Amino acid sequence: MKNHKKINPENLIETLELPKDLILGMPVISLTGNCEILIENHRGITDYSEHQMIVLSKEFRIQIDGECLNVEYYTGESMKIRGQIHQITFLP
Amino acid sequence: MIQFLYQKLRGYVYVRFSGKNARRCMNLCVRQNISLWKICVLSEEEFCFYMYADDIWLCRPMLRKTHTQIKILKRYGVPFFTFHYRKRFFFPLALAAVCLCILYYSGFVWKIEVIGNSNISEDTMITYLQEKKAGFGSEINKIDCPSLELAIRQDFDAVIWSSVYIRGTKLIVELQENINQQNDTAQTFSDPTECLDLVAAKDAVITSIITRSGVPYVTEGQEVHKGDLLVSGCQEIRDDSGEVAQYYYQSADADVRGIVIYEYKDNIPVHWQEESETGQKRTHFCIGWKDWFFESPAVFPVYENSHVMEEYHQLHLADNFYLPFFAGKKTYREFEYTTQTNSEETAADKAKQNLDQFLSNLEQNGVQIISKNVRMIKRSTNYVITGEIKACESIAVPTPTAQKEIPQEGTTTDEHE
Repeated sequence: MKNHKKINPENLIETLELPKDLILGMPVISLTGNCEILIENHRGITDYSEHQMIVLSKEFRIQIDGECLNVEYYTGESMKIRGQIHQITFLP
Repeated sequence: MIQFLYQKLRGYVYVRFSGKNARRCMNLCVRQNISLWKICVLSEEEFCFYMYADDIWLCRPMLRKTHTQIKILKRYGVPFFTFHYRKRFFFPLALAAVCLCILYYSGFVWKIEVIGNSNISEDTMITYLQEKKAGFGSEINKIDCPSLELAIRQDFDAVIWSSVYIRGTKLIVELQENINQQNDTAQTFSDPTECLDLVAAKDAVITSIITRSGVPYVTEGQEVHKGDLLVSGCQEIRDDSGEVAQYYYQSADADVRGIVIYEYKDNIPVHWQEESETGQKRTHFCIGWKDWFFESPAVFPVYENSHVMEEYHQLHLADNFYLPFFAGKKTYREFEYTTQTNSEETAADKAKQNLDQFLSNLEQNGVQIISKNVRMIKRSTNYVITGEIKACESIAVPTPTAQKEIPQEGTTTDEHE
């Protein structure tokens, strides 16, 4: 009887050194100090206020807490948020 | 900057989305590749942001689907601007005329910049370029920069390197001068194709002569006149019979110093007219095109005597894109003549200042002052200062050696004509 092992895609991607953001659709988050955050591969905004913002991604939600938060630009590929960022939390 | 220009050309609007599902509508718009920027939250159900004007048509299905109301608050960009001024026909015509004018003028040189010059003045270079048909107003297509570089190097001895290039409508001439050319006699003498004699630059009595190469023709204490041969670069080689068999040419090199007498003359008038400004001034504004300048009409009559100060600025759209339009102002400062009298003491002071300046100029040129004998005589209208200045200086100047023919057998030749 043949022994079929289940292949973990993350392990395969790591072995092949493929970019995870392209294959798995993971978000790419670039933070500049505590005043600017650039999120790529997002799926939209679920909550938006001056103090809290929740951005949806493929696997999880990104909660950004801060003050005077505003979206500098918002396109299908990326979004840039400016303001005083206090905390970034990843919610399931 | 490019992003800003793109936004202005495409046209964009500042809109407000309001409704229970405004945020969802916004997300759906983004899913349709509609770009939003500078999103501002007014309340839970109201968002304001900028978007491209033509994207409004794309987001209409999403607005209907989410029951969201849209309100355009402001419009920006060229499409709205042209729509607003659609009835003003002359405006686009004038705009087109200006664009054509700029396009036409971009084919000519309207600014010349000379970099790296020290002895050659900018005016000299501009005049030279004008003669070479590469001056102000010349066609860019007809200017041959490499040949111009070569011509500059050939026509200006002091220039050892030159670069000519055109940026926009500006012709840039970069030069490198040999600033030690005056003292660098070794370079002149080292030229193997040219042999040089040393001749007297002025009448003098020789005080010292140190010959490094060549045949000396003068001795210490000898009186020489301007143009007399001091050191010859032509050396005779005689055969056993004492006749000239051959001439050996080399560049003469020597330090020849002599005592030179300078005649000094100066004239200081007893009465002279001084231009004293009254403090009155008027400014007229001017505009110019090429060589034509139009001055704003003078409301008040122009002063009888005035100093004029002109200040012009050339119009340029970028650092290197100059146009033949000028704007500036002319300032007229009134002055009046007042007759002043020089007393004997002030005349003596002025005469001393002028003499000191004269001596200082001589010393800067390497002349050593030995003695001076100057006196001042008062006449009816002026003071006359005359005198003699005895100085010691180098009097040798190089001049090309005259080539001599080798004498035939049985004939004699003068050593130097």
